[in-house]
Amino acid sequence: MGKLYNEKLQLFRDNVSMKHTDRIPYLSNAFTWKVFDSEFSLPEAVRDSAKMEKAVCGFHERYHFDAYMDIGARNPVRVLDALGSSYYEITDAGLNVVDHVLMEPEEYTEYAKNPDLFGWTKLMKRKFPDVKGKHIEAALMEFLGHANFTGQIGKKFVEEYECPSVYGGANVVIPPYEYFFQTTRGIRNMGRDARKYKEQLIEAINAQLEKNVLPGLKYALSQDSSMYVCDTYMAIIGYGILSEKQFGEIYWPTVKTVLDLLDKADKTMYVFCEGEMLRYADYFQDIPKGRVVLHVENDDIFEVRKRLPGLCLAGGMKVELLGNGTPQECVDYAKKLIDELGDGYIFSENKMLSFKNDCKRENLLAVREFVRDYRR
Amino acid sequence: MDMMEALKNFKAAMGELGEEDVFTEEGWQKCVDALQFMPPEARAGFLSQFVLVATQM
Repeated sequence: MGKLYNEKLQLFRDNVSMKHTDRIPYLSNAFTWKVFDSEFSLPEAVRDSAKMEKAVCGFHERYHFDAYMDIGARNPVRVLDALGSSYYEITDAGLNVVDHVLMEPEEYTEYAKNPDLFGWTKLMKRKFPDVKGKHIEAALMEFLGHANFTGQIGKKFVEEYECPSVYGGANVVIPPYEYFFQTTRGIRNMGRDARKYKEQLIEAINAQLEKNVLPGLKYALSQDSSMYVCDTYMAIIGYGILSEKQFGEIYWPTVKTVLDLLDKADKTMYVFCEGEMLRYADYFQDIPKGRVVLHVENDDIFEVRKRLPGLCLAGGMKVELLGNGTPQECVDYAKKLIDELGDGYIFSENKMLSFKNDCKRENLLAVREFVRDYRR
Repeated sequence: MDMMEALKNFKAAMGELGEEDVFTEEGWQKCVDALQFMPPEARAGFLSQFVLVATQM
C-alpha cells in the first residue's frame, strides 16, 4: 500500500476509534448515480463492465473522495440475464429491486433443517422453473466474471487511486432476518410473520445464523483485515417494520451474537442503518466505544449523536439538499455536520446516491472541496 | 491444475447437466463437484452465494 493509502486509512480508523483528526474523511455513498454523472446510460453500464469501469473511474478522477461504498460492483445484472428472470427494474432514471415472495410461512421449519438445499431445490426452482444445467453453467460463468470485475476494479482503486476499501468482500454479514425480508418472504409478509409465525421465524433465523452466518463471520474474523476501514460490514433494512419489542425478540439477538464475536476478536463493523434506527437506539447503547460505525440514513444524525455518543457516526449529508439545494446551502450544511458531530465522524451522504435527481454535480464538487480543506 | 484447465473441466462437467433439471439434491452435488477451480472446502459456500444473488435480485 502507498503512503497516501495509509494516511487515508489511518484517518478513517482514527475516527472509528473516536480520536480527534485534523480533517474529516469523506466516504462517498454514490451508487448508480455515478453512471448518471457519466456519458453512459444506466441500462448499458450495468451490462457492460468496461463502461461501468469508465464511469466509476471517471467519477473518482472528478471528485477524489477518500473512499467509496461502491465501485460499480453492486449489481450483477448479467448473472440474472443468464438465468432469464430478474427482480431488477432498470430504467434511464434508476434501478429498483422488486419486492417478492418465494416461500410460504409454513416452510420456515423445513428451511431450518437445511438452508442450502432448500434454497436450491425450492427457491431456485420456483424462481427459475425453466432453467436447466446449461443455464446454470452460463450464469456461474457470469458470476465468476462479475467477481473478476470486482477484484480488478478493487485493485485499481487500492493501487492506483490509493483509496482504502471500506471492508473486504468476504467480510459482509447478512443478518438472518434480512435474508427472509429481502429474499424469500417480502416486506408485507414479514410483518405478519413476526406476529403469526414468530416461533417458526425465530427457528429459521437461528438456523441461518448457525449454518450460514457464523461460519463465514468466524473465518472473516480470523483473517487479517487491517487494510480495510472496518473489519466487517452489515446493512440493516427490514427492522423498520418491527415494534421495539419485536426487534428485541426477533432481530437483535442475532446482531448481539455477531457484535459479541466482534468484541471478542477486537474487530470493527460498519453498519449501514437504512430507514430509521432511533427508536431502537437503546439496544445499541451497550456497544463498546470504537467497535462500530453507524451510518444513519433517515434519522436526525444530531439526535443519534446525543443518544449514542460512544459510536462513530457516518452519513448526514442530505441527498435532498444535494439534489435540490445550491452549492452554498450544501456547504453550509456540511460545515454544520462537521462542527456539531465532533470526533468520531465519517462524512458521507445519508442515503445511497442512486437516482438521477439525487444529486447535482456542482453541489457535490462544492461539498467535496469544502470537506477536503476544512480543518477543525 | 491451472485455472484454464479447471474452468474447462467445470464447463465439461456442467455440460453433462445440459438439459437436466438441476434443482435437485443430486443436481446441487454435481454443481458443487464441478467447481474444480475452487478449493473443495469453498465450493458449497460459493454456490450458496450464487443462490443468494440469484434469488434476491
